[in-house]
Amino acid sequence: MPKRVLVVLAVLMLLGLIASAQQYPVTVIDDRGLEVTIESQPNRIVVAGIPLYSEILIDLGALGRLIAVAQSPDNPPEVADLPRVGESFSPSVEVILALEPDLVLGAWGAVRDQLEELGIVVLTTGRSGAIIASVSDIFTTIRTVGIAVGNSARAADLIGQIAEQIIIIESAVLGREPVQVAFLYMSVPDTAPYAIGSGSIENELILRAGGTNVFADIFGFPPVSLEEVLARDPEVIFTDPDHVENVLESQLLRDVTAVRDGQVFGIKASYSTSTKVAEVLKLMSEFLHPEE
Amino acid sequence: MDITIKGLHFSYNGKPVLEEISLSIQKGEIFAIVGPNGSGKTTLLKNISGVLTPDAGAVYLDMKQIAGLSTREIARHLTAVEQEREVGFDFTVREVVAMGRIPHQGRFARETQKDKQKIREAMELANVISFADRPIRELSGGEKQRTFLAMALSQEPKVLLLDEPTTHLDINYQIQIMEIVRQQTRTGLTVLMALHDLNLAAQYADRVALVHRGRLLAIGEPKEVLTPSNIRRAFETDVVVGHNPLTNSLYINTVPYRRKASPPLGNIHIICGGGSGVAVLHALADRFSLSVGVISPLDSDFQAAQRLGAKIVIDAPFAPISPKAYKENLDTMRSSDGVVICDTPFGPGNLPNLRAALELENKVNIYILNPEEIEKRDYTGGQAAQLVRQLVRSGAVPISSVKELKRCLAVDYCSTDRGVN
Amino acid sequence: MSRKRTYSRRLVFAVLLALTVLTLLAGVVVGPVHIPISDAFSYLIGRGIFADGSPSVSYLIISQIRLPRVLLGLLVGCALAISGGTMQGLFRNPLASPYVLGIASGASTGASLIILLNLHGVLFLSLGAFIGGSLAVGIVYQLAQERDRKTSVYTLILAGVAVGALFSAVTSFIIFLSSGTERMTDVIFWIMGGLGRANWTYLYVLTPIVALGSVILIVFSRDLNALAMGEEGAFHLGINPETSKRIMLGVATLLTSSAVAFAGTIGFVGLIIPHIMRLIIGPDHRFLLPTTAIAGAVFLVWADMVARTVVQPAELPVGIITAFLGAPFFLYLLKTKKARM
Repeated sequence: MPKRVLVVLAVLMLLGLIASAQQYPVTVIDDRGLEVTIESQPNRIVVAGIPLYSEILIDLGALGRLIAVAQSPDNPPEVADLPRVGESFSPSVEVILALEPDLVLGAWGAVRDQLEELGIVVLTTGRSGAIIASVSDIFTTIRTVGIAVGNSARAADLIGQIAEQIIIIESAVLGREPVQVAFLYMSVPDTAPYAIGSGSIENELILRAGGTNVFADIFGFPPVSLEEVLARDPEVIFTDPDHVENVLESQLLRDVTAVRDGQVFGIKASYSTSTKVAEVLKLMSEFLHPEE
Repeated sequence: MDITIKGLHFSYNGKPVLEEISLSIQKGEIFAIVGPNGSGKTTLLKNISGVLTPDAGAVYLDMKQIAGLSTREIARHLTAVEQEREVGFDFTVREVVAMGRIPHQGRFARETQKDKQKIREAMELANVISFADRPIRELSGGEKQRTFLAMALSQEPKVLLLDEPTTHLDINYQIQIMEIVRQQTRTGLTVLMALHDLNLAAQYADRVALVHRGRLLAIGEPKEVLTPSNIRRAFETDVVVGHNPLTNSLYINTVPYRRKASPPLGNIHIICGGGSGVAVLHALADRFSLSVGVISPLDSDFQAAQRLGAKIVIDAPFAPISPKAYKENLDTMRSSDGVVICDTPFGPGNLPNLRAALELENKVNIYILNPEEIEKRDYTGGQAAQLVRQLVRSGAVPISSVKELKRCLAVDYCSTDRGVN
Repeated sequence: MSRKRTYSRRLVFAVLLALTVLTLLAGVVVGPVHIPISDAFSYLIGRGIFADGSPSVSYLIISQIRLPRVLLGLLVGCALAISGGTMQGLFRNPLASPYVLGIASGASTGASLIILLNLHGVLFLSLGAFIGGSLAVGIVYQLAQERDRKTSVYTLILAGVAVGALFSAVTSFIIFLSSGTERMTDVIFWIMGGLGRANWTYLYVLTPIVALGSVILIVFSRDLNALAMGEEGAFHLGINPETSKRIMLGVATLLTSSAVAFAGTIGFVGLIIPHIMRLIIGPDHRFLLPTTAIAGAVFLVWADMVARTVVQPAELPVGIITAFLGAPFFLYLLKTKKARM
């Protein structure tokens, strides 16, 4: 009898092994539309790009396989003790190479080219140019990374959780009058600010939170004149937490509805490009529709 | 090496600058090109050296057209020093002179012994060797010019073109450069230079070409070309051309510009001779019409009087004054408004001039310069002194300087009536 | 005088060559990853491959990252310095640099356009920079041509300023269009210049260009000397000024555009190094150009070493370091005016 149990256990284990072994090699599509093949389960992962990748690995339970990250002020606290490979916009190929990784996440441009030439597997997702510009881009990243590290089931779960949260938040403000919003950066007081326009994740979040981006007619991240802000007269202004004072105390903007009513709120943009995007959305919707 | 130029035409931006220039320059000659600014001297030199290409006509070096020669080939036989040359970097004198060897060296060649020798000789010839290690940009104008001359000489040219080599130079440096150049022609160098200094051209050139508005006005030896009429045509100014016995060459002087506008205040007759009248003549020539007498054509006052257009009563030299001349002189004095007696030395030859003055019996104003010093100028055993004292006693005005004379005359004759005693 | 000069010239050459070897070794040894010096040297001579043919990571770092980078630095530094010296000689202007004809601006426009259009591949980037730079110079040269096909150096400089400004404006516009994205960072970093993209393919392309170009310029150094006497003065020395100018400008432009294509616009190397070498070795271009080339190569590699160690593991753009080193030195030169320019 115990022998049979042993045999069944062995067969089950084999099946499990086969099941997991069957996952590799996997092929995914990166931001360039090219195929990237991962031969076997990566155990030495380096994040050489934005902190989103680190967050995903943490949420997928793969933190133990993360050996180094790029420096960024938005890195999640769990990676604080990991060695650094340079800045997220300028990582060091040499240092990455020395770590002998089997997967590098988030690298792009010249760094990616060099790493690939040295035979290292690099995976970066998003739109062309490694850009995360929408919630679905975040989902694509989660799914792709999940497949790459062999945790596609948990990745699907994570996507589902975030999606569920987003839908709950959205339905709470569904049907309400959309609030006029501007998302600005004004690092120097009373100078022409940068506005976030269409084609960005912030724009999408504003829409989902029950608002309208007054600068949605402009694409990208353009500098706009103070007059334009006055003319479009947003009711709420989102900005970097460090810039809130600049906006509230701006002489030239004091006639803007948002400034007059004190409706200027700080939102860290990097939180939008993260697995915590639903929390950012919740914050936004509360700012826009506080009665709820 | 000879230079031949046939039918050269050159225009710049459609405007003709040189027309129909033909000349030939012999080996070993110093040939000067003179002419006013803008006449085309520099342009002509540039056409000959090959910097500019003529529109028509040709330049030959020893029968070979330079148009068919490469820049390097030209440089092996001919070189030029242009009027203004600015050196771009802090090369030393020696380094600059060494560049003259470039046409004789291959691209990778190092300095040979011969090169070094030629460089040293050139620096010695041009007298720049004492500051061979100094940067050329620290040198004075004259030192720089000599350095460029040394550079040209180290190039061992057979033809040397110089454009205004003496501008900005002190006299001593001007002469120095000319002497160096002349010395080189004795070993066969042909030199062609553009000069604005006519006297230097007259002194050093074997032959001269006068250029006027792009055309050749005259070619030949200096005395044939540098005549007052040619110079008047080219430079629109009057000159006197003389012969300098000390240098055995021509000298050319400009004549001071005469105000012709105002009518003369009167006629003044000047008794002078031996150079004593020059100052007075010049002082009075502006305001008065002048006459002079009696003097001989060999007298230096004669030339001055002639230049200033004075009427001259002349007589033969080395002989007593003839009665005819005496009478003419007296008549001239009688019809003049005033007579000036200069501090002339008087001898038996010109003593009658004084007598004639006395004969005027003061009907005409007489002015005598420095009559109290007559003893020093009396070579007649006292007769001249006696005559002078008589003149003063009967009313002749003693004057102590040319300035005072001028003032006096201006006062006496500033009214339109003729001066009356 | 000449005896003493020859002695010190030989000394300078010897020192420079020794410095080059030292620089090569130092550049390979320095880096954020610690590799023992003895290992580094053995990798240089080819050891470091394991028995099964796979290379050790340290070997890869040395041979694929550091060595190409150092060699690129030597090539680019050489190209920029010798072009700068040539430009200064041609224009007889100590403020001339290899970028005086608008190459930097044109190359920046080309490169930023490529980045904006998201064309991937290092080949595109280099090509874009090269075409942009050459286009700018071509326009400048055309503008400066006079009636008789002669070019006045004065007009060249002015046209270079104007065309450079025009292309800079276009580049700024491109930056504006790409603002807020990583592409903007990419463009700006490219403009600041860096050796980070070095690889062996670049070296295969760049080495013959720099070698041949430098040799040609050194061969024409005699012409540069003659041109210091003025164009007429040079003519009388047997040099054809137009031909010489054309060849030297063309080769210097090729060298500069190639350097910029692979390394971005690194400033001050082409401006300062010829000055410094002129102080040491004098204005005779036959000695100035070769020594400037070597000095520029050495200087850039050392500047790059500083750039990649001072905030390691991040890297500063090397243009920042060359400016930091170059600008004060330039001011010092101007102040002392003992500069034997």
